[in-house]
Amino acid sequence: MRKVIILSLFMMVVTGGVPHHIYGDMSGHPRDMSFTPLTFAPPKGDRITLNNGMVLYVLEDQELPLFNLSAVIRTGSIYDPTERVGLAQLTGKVMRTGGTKLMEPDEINDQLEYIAGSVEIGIGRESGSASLSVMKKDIDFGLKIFSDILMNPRFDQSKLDLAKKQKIEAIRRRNDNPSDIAFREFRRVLYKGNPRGRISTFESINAITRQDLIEFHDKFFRPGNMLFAVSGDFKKDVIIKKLEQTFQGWRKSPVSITEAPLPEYSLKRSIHYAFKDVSQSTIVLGHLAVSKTDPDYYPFTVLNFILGGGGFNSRLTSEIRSNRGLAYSVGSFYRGDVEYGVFAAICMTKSSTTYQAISLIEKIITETKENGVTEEELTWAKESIINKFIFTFTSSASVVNQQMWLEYDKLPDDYLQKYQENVSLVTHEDIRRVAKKYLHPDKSLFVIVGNGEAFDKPLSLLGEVTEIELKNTDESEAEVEIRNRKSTSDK
Amino acid sequence: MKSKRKCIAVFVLSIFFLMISSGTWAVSLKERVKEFTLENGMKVLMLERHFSPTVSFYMSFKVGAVDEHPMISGTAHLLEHMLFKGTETLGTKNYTEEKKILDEIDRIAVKIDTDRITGKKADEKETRKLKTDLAKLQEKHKKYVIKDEIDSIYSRNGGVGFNASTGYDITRYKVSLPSNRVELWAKIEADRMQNPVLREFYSERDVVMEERRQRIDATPEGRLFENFMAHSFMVHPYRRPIIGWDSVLQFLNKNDTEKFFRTFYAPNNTVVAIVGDIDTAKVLNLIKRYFEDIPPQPLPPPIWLKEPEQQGERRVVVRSDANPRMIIGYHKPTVPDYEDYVFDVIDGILSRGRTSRFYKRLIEKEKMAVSVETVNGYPGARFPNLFSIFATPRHPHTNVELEEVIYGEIDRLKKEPVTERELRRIKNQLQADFVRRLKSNAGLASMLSYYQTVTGDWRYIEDQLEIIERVTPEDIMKVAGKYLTQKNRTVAQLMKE
Repeated sequence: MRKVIILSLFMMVVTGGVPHHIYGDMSGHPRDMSFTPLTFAPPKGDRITLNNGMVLYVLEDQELPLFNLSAVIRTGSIYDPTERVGLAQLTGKVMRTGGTKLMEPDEINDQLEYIAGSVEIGIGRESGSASLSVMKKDIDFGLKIFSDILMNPRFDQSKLDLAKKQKIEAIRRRNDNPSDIAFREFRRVLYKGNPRGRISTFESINAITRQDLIEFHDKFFRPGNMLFAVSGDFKKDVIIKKLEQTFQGWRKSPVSITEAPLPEYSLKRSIHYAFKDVSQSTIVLGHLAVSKTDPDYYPFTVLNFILGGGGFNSRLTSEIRSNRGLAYSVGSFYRGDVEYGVFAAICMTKSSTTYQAISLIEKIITETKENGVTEEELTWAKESIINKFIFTFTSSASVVNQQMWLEYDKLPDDYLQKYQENVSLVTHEDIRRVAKKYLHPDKSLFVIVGNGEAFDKPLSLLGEVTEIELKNTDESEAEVEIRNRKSTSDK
Repeated sequence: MKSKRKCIAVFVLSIFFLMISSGTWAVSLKERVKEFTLENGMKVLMLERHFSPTVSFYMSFKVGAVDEHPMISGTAHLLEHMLFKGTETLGTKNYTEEKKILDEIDRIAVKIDTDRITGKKADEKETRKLKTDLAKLQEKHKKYVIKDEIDSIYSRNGGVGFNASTGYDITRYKVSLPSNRVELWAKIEADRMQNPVLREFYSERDVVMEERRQRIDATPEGRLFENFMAHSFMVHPYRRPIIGWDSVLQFLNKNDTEKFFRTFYAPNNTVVAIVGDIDTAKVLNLIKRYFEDIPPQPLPPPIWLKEPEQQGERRVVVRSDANPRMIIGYHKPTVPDYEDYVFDVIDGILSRGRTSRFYKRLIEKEKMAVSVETVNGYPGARFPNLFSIFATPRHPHTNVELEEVIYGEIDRLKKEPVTERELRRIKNQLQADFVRRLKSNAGLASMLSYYQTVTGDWRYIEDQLEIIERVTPEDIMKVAGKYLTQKNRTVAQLMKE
């Protein structure tokens, strides 16, 4: 048998710290402890291309008698037709529940659950995912069902009707929780005029037909439009052969996707408020930021860590939560996508400190923009990010998944290899520069959900306020559903 | 509390993850876990796994919200927050000086609280002065504080998942580190266990009040759950929210919190689980060095409060600006009672996956619900608990319509034996769950420390194996008939205002 050579993805280093005291000396302070430096070369999965163009990352792992496959598909709700928002999501859902050309929906559930296996399909905003998990002994059977669902979904009409009813109920319930409202409205306004900002409605769901699902599936679920990550208890050669056989009927075919437009970087201060009769307000404020492929990604990641992403010691959390007791949840997030990024601060605070909290967030971001960060903060953030990085590789499944996502995002092969180094190179000057360039507290989008009458100060002090009307959907929607029921039974 | 609730559910479900078909795994876990008891009674469980140079720690104390009396309700959880604030050497620049200010702060804060509790018409000027003095002292105190130093040190050292959780039964502190950092953990945690300083107490109490608003007051499901628990239990402390009632929480004081710490955080009430890339012998030596000198102490007697048998159905309605939901709960025994395992199987039959009875009937066939989930074992496992059903109707169907069909399915459990295939399916799923749980260091550490703390022996995880295998269709009929009755249930409904 061919010897399996495990190539190192890269060597990871966890720093030793400053050697202030002798190892094992109980009297030293934890902040001064030093450790033998650690090096780690995580295993790397092999990249294999099947005859029909499907790309796999494969890694053997015999620790447990398990088989895991996860796939990413280049698709997403950004490709929903304008009048059929919700199509991508329903397609993913009904692929799984609606049976295949060979199997009835119930038969799939029964056989899969009897062997404690799982197959799930989901389509999100900018990608789709598919997964298979079975015991080692059930690999063949699991692959048969999984591939059948990917290639030959039946989209049973009754399962589509059920999925639509469920989705309509979810729309009815979307204003029940204040934080759900705040995050949804933030997204809606931030991406206004872009597919990323669209929200499904009763009308858009009701307009979706079985034929739409068939076409959506046909357009995106093609061998050359997806990547697989495979790990578990198998021999690599054997599993590759199995996958080749399983998908051999799926012919290579060109994929034509019209790219969705990117969100526009229009920085403009705007204040949006929705009334909800609750004792605590949800505040989200932010704007678009730098993308993951921009060299400024690293300094901005470090900056966000210091500002509000790095937990208790980040500026927003330390001041608003720890010093002032104004919130349990407060901080910031930064998500760098391939072609754009989003930065936002969030806070949940009682009605009577809502304005105070917003002012503090603005003040802290402004100060950071103007004065940068301290040397101590920079060291803490860089060391943290670099030393935590090892947790990206704690299982064989996470190793191949990382590789798969790198390719999906079209990032360079050595992206992970150079990640720690790139973070370590971030300088004080970089932070100062990106803070000035990418932080815009004065030109942010503000979304506040709560009971405005009980706020400490009116939001109008922040600027012109646009009120978001949360529609009470009780009557109108019930009628739509009755109409819809009729139209379905007519068929 | 929402996330804690989920936490509890996870533990309870995992009670019966056993292995039969892959019996080697059951054997192997028993052989691989190394168990030690220090001279002071502290229990240490270790498991070596070498995929990556990382290690996960779970430190569990057998104390939770059940161990509070009503007037200090919320203390176990507030204390958990306070233990992140440091020690006499962590988080301070000069503890001797700092202590003087802390004592001053306490004196004034207690005075303000007392005036508020007694409703004394304090002279407004006097109150304002007290508040100004307090603010000044708190400002002065900042000079001595190194903010959140424990978090900062763990973070710089690559720590992830540094957090804690408080339940009704148990309080747990966790972190994962690169595996060359074991001694850092030992040094910090031994210090936290002996010399905590509850600095910044009053602002943290405000943080917890915000946490309460976030989890309960501003969340319809949170309020529903709180009401459900308070009506399900009349006597047992499971009736009180872990986070504490608003009126109690706002006056929790530092003395009681410190006393609670001294009473329950004893080494003989502690279980540590360490899983990952470690050398067991070396780590044991380290742990002995840091923890073995901590003196053991007598623990309070067990809780003797018992929930009396329910005399009839209880119903409660919570009004909210949100769509309807419902929780139905039935009293039942806890581990190690055989009937508890039977409920684990019932749980699977009713609501696990797309082949479960509730899914097929209520979601697919009748299309009355968007979700119906069951949970065996809320809200804890140290005392008799509940078998609960969480149901969400689909408009225009109502809670009451949904209830009727749910009861129909429950009656079927009592009258007809479940099929062999259904039973086998659930058992297969539980076995597979067990194997999947072994994939993560943190998951294993969590499981080992939980069962050791709550049941007294982590092997319980594996001993379930044979017990679950023994469950028959007749057992299910018998247990359903005995407990899933109208008289024994509490129904909480969320309804539009």
